[in-house]
Amino acid sequence: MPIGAIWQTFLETPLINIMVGLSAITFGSYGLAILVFTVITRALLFPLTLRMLHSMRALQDIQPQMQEIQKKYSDPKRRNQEIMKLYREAGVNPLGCLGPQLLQFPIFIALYQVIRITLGNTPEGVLDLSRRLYDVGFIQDAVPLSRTFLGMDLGQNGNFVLGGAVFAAMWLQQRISTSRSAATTSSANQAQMNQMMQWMLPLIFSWFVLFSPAGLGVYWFSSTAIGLILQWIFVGPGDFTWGSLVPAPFRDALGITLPEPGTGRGSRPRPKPAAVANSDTESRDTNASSGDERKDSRGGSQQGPRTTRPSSRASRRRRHHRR
Amino acid sequence: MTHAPTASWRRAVGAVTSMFHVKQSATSDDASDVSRETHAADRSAARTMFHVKHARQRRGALIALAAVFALVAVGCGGVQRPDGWAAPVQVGDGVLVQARSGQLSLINPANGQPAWQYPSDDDGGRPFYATPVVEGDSVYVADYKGRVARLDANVGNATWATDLDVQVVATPLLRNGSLFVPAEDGTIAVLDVSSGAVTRTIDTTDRRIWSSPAADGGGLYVSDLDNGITIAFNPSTGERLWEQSATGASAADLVLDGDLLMVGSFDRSLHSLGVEQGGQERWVAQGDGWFLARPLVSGRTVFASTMHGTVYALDRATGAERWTFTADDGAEFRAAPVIVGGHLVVAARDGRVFALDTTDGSLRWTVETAVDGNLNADPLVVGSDIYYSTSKHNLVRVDADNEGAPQAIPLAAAR
Repeated sequence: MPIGAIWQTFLETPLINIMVGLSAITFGSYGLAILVFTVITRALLFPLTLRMLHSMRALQDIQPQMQEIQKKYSDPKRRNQEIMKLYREAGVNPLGCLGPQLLQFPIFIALYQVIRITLGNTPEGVLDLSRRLYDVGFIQDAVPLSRTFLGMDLGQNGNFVLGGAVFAAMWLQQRISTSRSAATTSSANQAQMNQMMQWMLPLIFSWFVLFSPAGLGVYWFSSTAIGLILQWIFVGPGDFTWGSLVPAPFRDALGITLPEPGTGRGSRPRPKPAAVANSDTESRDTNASSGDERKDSRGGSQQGPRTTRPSSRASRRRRHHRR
Repeated sequence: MTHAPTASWRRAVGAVTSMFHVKQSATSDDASDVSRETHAADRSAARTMFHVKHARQRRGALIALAAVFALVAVGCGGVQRPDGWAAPVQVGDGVLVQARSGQLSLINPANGQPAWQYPSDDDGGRPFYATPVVEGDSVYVADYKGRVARLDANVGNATWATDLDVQVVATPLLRNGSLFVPAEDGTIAVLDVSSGAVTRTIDTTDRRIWSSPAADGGGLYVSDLDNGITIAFNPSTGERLWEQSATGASAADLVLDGDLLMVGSFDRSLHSLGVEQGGQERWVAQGDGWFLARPLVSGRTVFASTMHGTVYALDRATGAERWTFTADDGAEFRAAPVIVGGHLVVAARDGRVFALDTTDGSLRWTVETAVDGNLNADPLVVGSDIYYSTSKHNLVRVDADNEGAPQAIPLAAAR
């Protein structure tokens, strides 16, 4: 069986019938059918999503230990071993976050095709739909489908409002995720990567939504919104506050104060210097003879006080900004 | 000069080799300096890891790129372009056919040679779904993007052309010096055939119209695709006379026979409305699939076919079923049935043509036209010849007198 036939038989055609059936159930509204489909998809993926959220939280919880390992071991092999050990001990799968995203990907692509087929972007599309529908009365009778939803033509490309909404929702999701990890991120590269992800991912998806039927944008926006809500409920907003969206110069004028990092719901407090120093010493004691210990460029290994200095340029900047 | 690159290459290799030797000798000569050795080993390991890390990053980037490419390929692969399903029509001794998407050609059916083409320059973005309307020496055409034109049948020049800026799928209706052009935005533009000016617009309130309207002395009848309503208008004033919402969404051309209006519908039914009774439903015939082909009324029988591959012969007065014929292997009937040589001839989208006995529906002959593309367009009957054009813009002639022997008409010369 060629891959195209497999794709059509097992994903595309069932999805076409599901969407047409949902449309019949939701009073002939294709937009409502997309929303119901999104909720169903997210509900089916919920166990995976929950695991992803827990994994995300656990990853953030072990950030201090990760930083310690980064500082402590210069040998990359040994460092990786220690990190993997830490993952095992904490029960974290660093790739666990990808599951729901990867599963959503074929759905996203199939839905793109399905919207084009079901809404018939050409008159021939409506004829072709005939052979794709199951021989079930209420599904057959649901065609042709209503293309309009909330004033949008769901089959048309170039909906800027929807593109903007998708951008905003994804940006917010990234912002909440990165604000949580920013508190514990010491690496400037990591901070830079987070910053890039915060802008690039929403840009890419909103661009894609702009050049796809509006129905796909409705799906992606609602899916992102649901993801955002789940993240808020199960992991918490971290250090994110709505006030942080207000540009700094206006915050004082509006009387908005931002909470200290690590005090937000769902965020973990920064590691205390003493505890880190202890753990650092402990580790050094156990590994001193193995030659894995990082040699400080200024000569000699650094003890406790080192952990009290700002860990990165990014965090120095944040502290300075708060002052 | 020609050796310069080789020389520089040698120098570079030499430098690297000497560096390697220096490094080697340094480590061997100063064997006691363990810390330096360890440091060198660390650096070497770090360098190796750096390369491994970068190789991984490159591989990751390549995989990501391939995934994006696959996504775009899959996405773009499914984008369907409109091809048009305008039926061939007879103009003089020639056949006017959409020889390529967005271009009509008047061809000599004997050899496919074109007499003229419209538009003369190819514009594939404006395919024709509406079948050209012929009246005397004039041909009225409407393309998908709403350009309506009156052509001189002898030379193919446009006497006038009017852009309606709406998508047009339905075949226009010519009546009393006016051309009624239904559009996808739910309006019916009424054009003066002498000038092409839009004299008025009838609004059916935002409903797509794909079916060709029907008209008689009393009214203009239109069925819509989205809300499943059939409406009667006064063709002179545009005043709404009656509405019938029981018919379901329709994309089949309407047929008016006496006071009966036949509406083929997506609700898998053929509806018969009494136009003189305010659109009251006279009978409904339930089928096994969508009725998208224009029904045919012959005497006291109505022939209608479905997208599920079944042909129905119904009693015109009551809608009672006289016989049915079902083609196997997933046949879909979109092209209108015609009667030729005493047989009912129906064409499936996949290219098969069936001739049925009109009295009992028994199969008389069947042929496979074996031309590229779907048979979506209504056929043209000239004597015993039936012309079918395909979605890939091929033309085939089926000889009903010769058990349907098909003959592809080469249109290559017309391109």
